[in-house]
Amino acid sequence: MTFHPQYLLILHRGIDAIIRRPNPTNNQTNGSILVKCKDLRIIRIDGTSFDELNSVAQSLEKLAAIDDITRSFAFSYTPDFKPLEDGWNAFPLEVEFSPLLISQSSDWRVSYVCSSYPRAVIVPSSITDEQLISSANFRQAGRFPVLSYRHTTGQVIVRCSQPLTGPQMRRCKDDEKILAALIHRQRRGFIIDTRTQSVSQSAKAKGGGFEVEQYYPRWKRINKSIDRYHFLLDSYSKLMEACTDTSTSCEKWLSRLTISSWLTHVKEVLNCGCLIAQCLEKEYASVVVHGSEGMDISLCVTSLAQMILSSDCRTIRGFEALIQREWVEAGHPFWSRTSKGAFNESVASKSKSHAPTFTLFLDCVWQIYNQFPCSFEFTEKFLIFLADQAYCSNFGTFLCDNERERELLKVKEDTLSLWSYLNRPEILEPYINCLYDPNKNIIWPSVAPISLNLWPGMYLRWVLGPSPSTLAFEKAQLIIKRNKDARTNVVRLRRKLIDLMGEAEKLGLLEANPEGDEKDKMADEEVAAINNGIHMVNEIEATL
Amino acid sequence: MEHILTPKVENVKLVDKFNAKASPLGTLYLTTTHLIFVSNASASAPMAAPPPEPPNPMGEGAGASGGGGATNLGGFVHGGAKKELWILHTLMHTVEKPLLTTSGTQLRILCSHFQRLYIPFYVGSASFIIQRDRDAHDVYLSLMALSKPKEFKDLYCFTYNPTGQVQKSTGWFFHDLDAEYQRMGVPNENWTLCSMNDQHRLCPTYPQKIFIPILASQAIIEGSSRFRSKGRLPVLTYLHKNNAAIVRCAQPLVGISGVRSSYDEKYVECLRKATPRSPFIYVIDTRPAMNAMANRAGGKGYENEKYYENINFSFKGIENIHKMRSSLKAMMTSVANATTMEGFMSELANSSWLKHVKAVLDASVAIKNCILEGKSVIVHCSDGWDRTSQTCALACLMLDGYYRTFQGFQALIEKDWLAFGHKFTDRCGHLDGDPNEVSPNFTQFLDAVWQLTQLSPQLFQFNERYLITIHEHVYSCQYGTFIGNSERERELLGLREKTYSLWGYLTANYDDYTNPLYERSTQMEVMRPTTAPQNIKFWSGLFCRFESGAHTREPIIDLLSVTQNHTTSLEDHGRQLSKTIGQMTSLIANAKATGAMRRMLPTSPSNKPSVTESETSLTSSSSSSTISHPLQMSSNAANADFEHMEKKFTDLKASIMEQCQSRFLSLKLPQSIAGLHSTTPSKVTPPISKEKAIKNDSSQRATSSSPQFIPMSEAEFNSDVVLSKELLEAEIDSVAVDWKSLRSSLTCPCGFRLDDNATTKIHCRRCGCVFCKRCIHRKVPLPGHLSKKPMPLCSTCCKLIDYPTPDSDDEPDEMNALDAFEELNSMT
Repeated sequence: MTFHPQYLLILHRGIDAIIRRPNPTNNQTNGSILVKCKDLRIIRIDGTSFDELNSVAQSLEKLAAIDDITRSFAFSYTPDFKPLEDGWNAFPLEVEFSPLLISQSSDWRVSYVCSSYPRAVIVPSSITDEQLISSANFRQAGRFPVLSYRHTTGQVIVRCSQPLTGPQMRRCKDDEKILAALIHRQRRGFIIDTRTQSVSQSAKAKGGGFEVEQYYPRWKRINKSIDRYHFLLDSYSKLMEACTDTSTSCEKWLSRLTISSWLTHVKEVLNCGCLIAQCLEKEYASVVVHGSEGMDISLCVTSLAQMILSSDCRTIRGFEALIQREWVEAGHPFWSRTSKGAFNESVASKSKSHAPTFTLFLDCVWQIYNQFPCSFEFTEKFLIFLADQAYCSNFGTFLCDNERERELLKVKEDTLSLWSYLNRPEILEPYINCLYDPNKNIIWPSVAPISLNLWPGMYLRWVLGPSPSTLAFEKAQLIIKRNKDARTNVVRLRRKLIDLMGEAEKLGLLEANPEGDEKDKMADEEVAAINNGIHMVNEIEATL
Repeated sequence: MEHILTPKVENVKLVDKFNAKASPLGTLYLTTTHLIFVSNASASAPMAAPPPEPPNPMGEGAGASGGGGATNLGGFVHGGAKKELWILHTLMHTVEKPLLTTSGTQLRILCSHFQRLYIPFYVGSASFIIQRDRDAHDVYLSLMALSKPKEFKDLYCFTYNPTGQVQKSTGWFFHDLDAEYQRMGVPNENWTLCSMNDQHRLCPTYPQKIFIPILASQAIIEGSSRFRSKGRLPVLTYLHKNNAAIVRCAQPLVGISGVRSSYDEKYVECLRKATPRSPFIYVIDTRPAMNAMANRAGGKGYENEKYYENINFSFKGIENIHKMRSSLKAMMTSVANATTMEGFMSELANSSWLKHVKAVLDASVAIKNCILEGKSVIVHCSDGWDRTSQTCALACLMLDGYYRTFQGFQALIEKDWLAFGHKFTDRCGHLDGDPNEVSPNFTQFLDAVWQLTQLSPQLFQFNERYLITIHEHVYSCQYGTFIGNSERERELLGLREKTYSLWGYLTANYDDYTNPLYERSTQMEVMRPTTAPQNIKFWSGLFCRFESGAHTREPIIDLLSVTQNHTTSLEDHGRQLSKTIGQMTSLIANAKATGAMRRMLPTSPSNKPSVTESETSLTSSSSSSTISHPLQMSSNAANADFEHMEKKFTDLKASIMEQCQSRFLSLKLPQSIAGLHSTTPSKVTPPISKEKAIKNDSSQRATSSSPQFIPMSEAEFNSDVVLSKELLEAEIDSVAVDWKSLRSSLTCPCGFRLDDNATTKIHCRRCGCVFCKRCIHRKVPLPGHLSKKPMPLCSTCCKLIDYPTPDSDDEPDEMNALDAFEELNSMT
């Protein structure tokens, strides 16, 4: 796509890779550099002197490589608007779970024990802080089981990291008690391990492991195979490589898309999200989800299950709260994960810490949205906006890797929350779905291969221009608006007519017709014709 | 009938691929036209008397699943919902019966509209197997014979006779090739009508009327025709506004030795000159170069740039019919068997279907670009009736917005597919013929059109369902439109007289097929699609049409269509309300004024409707600006002049009234019959005497409106009773302000499932509830609508609104189709 904006602003953090092209095919310039951005844009800069371009490229590379959070733009960003609310405190945990804490006060309480978790998490109230600390020591990175979601029927989703059983099959009584407390009234629960059986087996050798079923009675373990970390980044890179080449043949495109296995990942994650939702809704069982650290795929699948089960999460505010709670506060390491994007080919990018997990999650949400376009208060634009914000942003929401770091760096004090920016009517307006019709039902997406599509609005937006659905969306807005206007008008007219009828009745003009039904129901066409005649008569009369 | 070995088999199962538990047990009926499966749970309920007679209880619902929905019950469901499945024999593509196993025997049926059926014959005990196998074999043999008739006369369209449907003739005369060329401005100073193909003398597979350059002499034309395969010489198919033309033909008979034809060379030169100031003409051979060369061995080939002056020749690489056939087959297997994402995508890639679709689109874009350059194009493939039809039609679709409307699209199919001899019967396998002749060219064309609609949804007047319905009926043989291999064959078969036209059906139901996103202003736009591979998608709406669970659960297009219909109803209602309010206001104002007058003129009678009062009410029904008028008149009541005037005025009025009525009756007789018939309950008469009754009626009225003062005013007074309380309430009650959402309406009150995207759902305009097509009683004009356009009503509302059931539905419906067509015409 060629376009000619008057100016272009890109945060250094948003630059993913820079490619130098000293020998351009075009003779008018001496070279060009391609700036590949994390929002999947590729910008070509042509120049007359290649040395000059090269130095630009070098500076950009250095600037983009700055990994010091405190030097990010969010700290120096001064808003040109007055926030209506403080996004940092928009979704406090106690408020988000207030119905739960009030009604179920005996079962759940707020715990302020912390490690990589936020200041406060929700745990069974029968468990003491000492037991939590004991459990935290038994789980990787201290991520003991905490509540993620409680279904209307009482079943819960709890997430944690893998237990550190190690090769000796160690156990932790307190940890067992926590899990037992989760299902003390229910028949059974499921532990969903997002790794394959073999991966979790081999994790034992490294000190990790999985819950041994004999120590956790009534819990059944299920392994799901979802790739993570650099596999995802690799897949994402291949996907974008395929997407940006529009001149290939159909076969090549399809085979590259297949090789990228991005859609396979989407399918697996979505599948796992559905599985969790099914456990809660169909099996009436609670679910504990963990992978190894429980801060990537675990968050992905627990939030997806909530999108399926809870209609609140499908509203704009609910979705913001979900991201704040289940991603930002739950300790998804946004800063590390987003430091490299799809186009980065350096060796370092193959390390464990970079992964487009959040983009994958948004893709899965889009797949559900695509199947239920009227059940979401927001549109795909909102998802794309969030995906870009996660990679680089003027705001502090996605800075740092967890809450503790944010506190240390005073992120909340020194930067503005994304939600403060977003939650203003004039900003939200383009993201509101005009087709939204609140849907309290549980929405079960289809995960059949024919139901899953590549997300063109996301991956092809710079390649093929705005997707047709965007154009269609504008027209849809008009249609909906016209309908609303027509309805208001009819309601108003009816009221007026009824008033008039009352008045006419008072004047005695509207008594039941004594001539009976027969003449009452004269053909309407005839009436029209006669009226027409009268009109003509009046005209003639006027001339007379 | 002789093919049916077993009319009924009990205790068979229809396997639901996605939900084996939901596979219902039921009875299989075999009729002359359909295979019917009725599940046990409701076997007695839906059909009181199933076969042996070929049942047609749902009228068009029986076969037309696009509209009726009966065959749409692909996805079976739990609960007490009706389970009934109707499959037209002619739609069955393949019927398979795998070898007998210990678990029993089964039938596998794959339909041309991509429905798949797995019917294992339920086995009670082991000893029963043999008997069951015999049953299955009987059904198998019957289906084999029924699904591939040997002769044209056995096709379903010759027996299909729906009740309550459009008339047989409707649709056959919608499109006229002459008119289509006239629309393009042909004949003109460059192009002329050639009469040499009268009675198909020159080329039996071409239409009788062909258009050629004015410069071409008879000898040249005959010579060129001899030099082209099957005599298919280059003729005009589309003339663009810039005078560039698309010309189509078959390959030249060059052969290995490189035979030349001076006639053909001259003719191509004439074609070039037909576009003024065009230095050369493009020749596009849509085949791959290899295929074209191979054809030379068979005495055919392609134009040599050395011999033809001023041509620009190129190959486009669309594969032949055999490749397309196997590609579709491969794709359908991959779709059926894929469970993993990788498997699905790699199978999709291996099948090459998308590649072929892209090739067709690319070639069409190339043709479009030539035209936009201002140069004419000659397009051919081998015989010029498969790939040529595809690419020419698609190029037209991109160039001219007219073809993206309802009629334009029909005209396009009539022109480039039907008139120019795409062999529908051979390619679709309507009859038991050579399987090597079967190929999904038309399916591919529709797929390509769908790709375009996905790229620019606002450019197309029709929606996806329109394409799917056309696709189904190309194969179903329910309508005569696509029967036969050429125009000549269709004429010989007498299809116009003996069968129904699909266009009639589609036009009568165009509400179902309207694209709410269509922008009328885009008609002048030329489409410039990007055919990057990323834009070519798998059309799950067609190929996985019956896998209902896999599609979007909230189809936006349907929702928007419903919203638009709702808006139309509301706006119409609003106009009616405004009108009534206007009348009421003036009535009240007049009443008040009269009241005041009565006090002023004590001589006027106060109780009975007086001259003044009736006069007042008379004028009140006109615009309120004349309110002052009666006051003025009555104040002059004593004036003799006024009486004279009044008399004259009434005379005039009466004569005008009479005129009005007679014109009204003569011009719009059928409609007024429908209208009067449905709105005068006391005059329910048999349809034959209807006209008479109305004439009597009108004559009565004519006398009543004779220049006698009192009866006249009474008549006038009656005309004003629109404003009786009862009618006013009826007006308000007759239109639903809020419509039930599609999401909350999963079943029709009759128990029919509506949760399938393909099923037509209709809102009753009065109560706002959602019904299946069969439960929408009929279309009637509503008192609350100003336009008095017939609107769909459910049976309950029909009763409530007190319209009598008509004696015959034909007439209003017939009017409907024609009206709809006229309306469409006026829109485009």
